[in-house]
Amino acid sequence: MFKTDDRLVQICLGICYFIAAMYAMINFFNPDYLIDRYGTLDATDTNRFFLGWYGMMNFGFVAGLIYMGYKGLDRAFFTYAVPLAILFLIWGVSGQMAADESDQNYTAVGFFVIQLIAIIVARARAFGMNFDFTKADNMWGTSDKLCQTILWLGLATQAFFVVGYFINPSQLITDTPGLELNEVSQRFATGVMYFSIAWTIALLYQLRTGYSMSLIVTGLITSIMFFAVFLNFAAAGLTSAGGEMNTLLVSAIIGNFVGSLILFFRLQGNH
Amino acid sequence: MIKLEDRPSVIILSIITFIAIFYAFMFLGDNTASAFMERTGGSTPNEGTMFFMGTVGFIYIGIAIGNVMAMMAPASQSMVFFRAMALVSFIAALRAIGNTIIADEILTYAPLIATILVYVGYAVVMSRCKARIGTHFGWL
Repeated sequence: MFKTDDRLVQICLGICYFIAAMYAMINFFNPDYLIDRYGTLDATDTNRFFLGWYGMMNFGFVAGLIYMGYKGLDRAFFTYAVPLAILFLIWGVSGQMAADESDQNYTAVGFFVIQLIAIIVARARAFGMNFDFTKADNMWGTSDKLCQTILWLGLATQAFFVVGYFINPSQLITDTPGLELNEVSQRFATGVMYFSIAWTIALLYQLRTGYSMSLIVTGLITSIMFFAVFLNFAAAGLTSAGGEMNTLLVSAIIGNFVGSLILFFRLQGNH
Repeated sequence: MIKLEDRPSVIILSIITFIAIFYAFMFLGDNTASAFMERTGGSTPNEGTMFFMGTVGFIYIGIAIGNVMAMMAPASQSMVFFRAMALVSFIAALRAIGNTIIADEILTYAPLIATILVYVGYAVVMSRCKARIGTHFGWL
């Protein structure tokens, strides 16, 4: 498993898999379970929307781990996973500290701590503490111009979202019909921005050292889920309210889906 | 990574996989499941119906994962899967046609068309991967 005989690495990544898969399933398939257990979460469509979003991101993470399980450890995956684990630990702690004492629930924070320790131990045991930034032969590690363009667009989109968040933190919520702006939803939007920071770091790393198939699989699974959910919402008439819809978000979902498919099918032959 | 030798079969299986994911999520969400039932001529689902629709949704996810597994293996290792899925999708298509005939009011024929296309897709994949037993419908 993971093409390594180091049991500690296998166990640590197994723990990461368990935590990510558990939260993926709860967030996506049964968000009310979390809503019941967190005093700060009301049973609103806004909270379910963001919990579903986090669930889909976790499913992508799980897919990347499974891919590494079969194909071997990948440095680039850790450049995504480690910042993400750190950022979500900060997110979890700050969220609970902002809540009333009676509403505080540190269960998720506990799992975030375990996740962070496990991912850092796995990274350190697998690759040591050296940070390799060896430049690839080509930009993004491929001579395929279409793939290079898509990866550039991906980097620009993620960076654009991060910058956009700092200009107007509530834009995602106010531009999306059906979402309510409040303290909790704003915190969820901050978490979404943290995902973008982790992706930006991972894409910058790939720009220099070459693309990573485990991250392409991670992005593919995430984008397929987002696109399928978007089509479901569209079929049920839930994507727009009063003729308005978040066209930027819809464009990003469609672009992500098409781009990920092209990347996967054009690059998978080498792996 | 993709080991299935026939490219059209990979494309067909990819499309079927996406359709399966789409329907899985539709059946798993309460709002989308209600919308599906109402637009295909069914009554508004109650909690029990929602529960069983969710179960069907999980089966669809299983089918999607099965398709991905089939794409990542040579055709020779997926023969029984293709045969089984062609039969399952054939039964599903017959049921969809029957349900459409008896429905009082239908707002969309998209699920019916999708179900039939999935059957045709699996039949084509089965033939192209030489998983068909006998020569019936060999022209597919």
